[in-house]
Amino acid sequence: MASVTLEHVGKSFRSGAPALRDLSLRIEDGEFVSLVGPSGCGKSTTLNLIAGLDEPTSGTVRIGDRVVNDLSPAERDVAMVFQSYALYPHKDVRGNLAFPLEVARLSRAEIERRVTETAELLGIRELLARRPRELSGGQRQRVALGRALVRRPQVFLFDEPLSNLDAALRMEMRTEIKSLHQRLRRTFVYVTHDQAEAMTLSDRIALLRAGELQQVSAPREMYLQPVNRFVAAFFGVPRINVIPPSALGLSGDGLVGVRPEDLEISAAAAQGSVPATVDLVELTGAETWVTLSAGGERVVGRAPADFALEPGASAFIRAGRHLRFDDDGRTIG
Amino acid sequence: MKRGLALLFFVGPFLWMALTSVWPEAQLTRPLPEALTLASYAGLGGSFARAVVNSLIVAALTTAVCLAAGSAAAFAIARLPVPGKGGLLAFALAVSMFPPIATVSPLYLVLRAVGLRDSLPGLVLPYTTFALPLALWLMTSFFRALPDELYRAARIDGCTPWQAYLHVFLPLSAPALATSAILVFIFSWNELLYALALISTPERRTIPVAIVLFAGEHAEPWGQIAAASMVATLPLAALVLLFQRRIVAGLTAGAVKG
Repeated sequence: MASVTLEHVGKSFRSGAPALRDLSLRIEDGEFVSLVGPSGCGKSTTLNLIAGLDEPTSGTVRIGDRVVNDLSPAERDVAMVFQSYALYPHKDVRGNLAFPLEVARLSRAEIERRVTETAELLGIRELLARRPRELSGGQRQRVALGRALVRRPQVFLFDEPLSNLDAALRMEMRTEIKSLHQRLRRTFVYVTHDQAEAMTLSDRIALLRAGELQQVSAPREMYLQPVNRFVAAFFGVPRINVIPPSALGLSGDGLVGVRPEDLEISAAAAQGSVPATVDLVELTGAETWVTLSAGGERVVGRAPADFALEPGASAFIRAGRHLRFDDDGRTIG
Repeated sequence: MKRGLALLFFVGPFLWMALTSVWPEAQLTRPLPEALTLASYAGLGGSFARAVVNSLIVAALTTAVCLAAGSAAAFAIARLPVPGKGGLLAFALAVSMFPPIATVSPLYLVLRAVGLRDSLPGLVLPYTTFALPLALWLMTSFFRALPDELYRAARIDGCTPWQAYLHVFLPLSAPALATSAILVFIFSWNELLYALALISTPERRTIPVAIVLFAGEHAEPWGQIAAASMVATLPLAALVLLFQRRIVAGLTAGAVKG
């Protein structure tokens, strides 16, 4: 059993505001949880605390049933994949894969067996004799993944592992990590600032902001029922429209949030619609993003690829499903 | 033309020394000698060979101690949460800033008290004190420049800090080790003041002392002094050329995206 439990964990560094405040989070055995948030939100700090690379200022970290606060990374049975790959430049791929096993003093035969097995699993067998500098970015990331896999740890930690890859390769590796999780059924904790990555990969997402946990939910729930304006704005491209209700002809105070796909745009007036002007039309391929102004506010809507109106044209918009936020940004309905 | 002048400026003195060493002693003031000779080298004798061996021992020992202690300490300062490490570095630098002449007589008394005066280990000790800060600073800045994720990866892979130093950082630090080695070796090889003050037995003299005392014992044996200087300089030149190939940039290429 290797759930990961954080209980009232806090972390302060000598200078500045605390990096983490009273974080409580339970990651179940075999679950894939992403930690997301803008830079400086404490997601990497959280990962380091789980890994044992840093010590919490307060609170308890558990892996399985063990309190690991005072255990070194070696004693925690975790592996980590880094953004910069962090391969050992003086060792070839075989040496990189074998290193954690050598440190753990496994037998030669066992090391050889596991290295070969892992290399085959990731399709890097023909690279075993190469040095990291002779590898492409994607190959390096595979080796880094292999170095984590070879130990068969209970918990896998990922620190923005795909950020250094180009877009096409990122998609490919994303799929690979997902299928790896499905095959291994181990606990994955994945740090990213990319909301799409978190959405597609995770069983649950934990969103942090300035050291405080905002919401922990399954991706779909996170998207449909954000607890506050920050969470609502973090997920979804284009971003949710947050505007006064009057601009869309709605009643009430506070602000409303309307996802671009919930904004109905039409050339003719319909019941409950308000007039708007088309400012910008961006075709993304499968769909069109339309920026309009209505009642002095700018809103973005999602339209089919064959959207016909030109910039400057008059249109009518109507809010479909929408959220309401109070003055503190909390979701109230 | 400019290049020629620059070359002459740097190589000239060395060339002059080389020529003096093969010039017949009696014809030194003449623009051209009748013939070149190796007599000055032959005249150096066994006592100078002894001095070369002594210098080798002292410089090699000093270099070894400085690299071992310096790189381990530098790793700790660069990567481990050592309290007050900034002050430690400044203190080390301050130690090496001491004018050597000011420490000669107290050092003499201390080394005599512990029975190390007039011995080769008695030279290695003060040399290390002066050269260690240099190695420490060089290695610290090198370790700091290595990506932090490399250390974190080693820790995650199960290394204790000591194992991370031994298996990951030390193998990567060859360029910094080589640079430190050259500088420390040259310092110990050329050091005169302490060697002159602390060593009295002729058999334990180092090269600089031996060369200085040539002039005292005989008149002014320019040819021999030049020949001895050549012998003293050539190993250094060889050392630098040898290590130059180790100081390759890009040894860490591939560790991070670059």
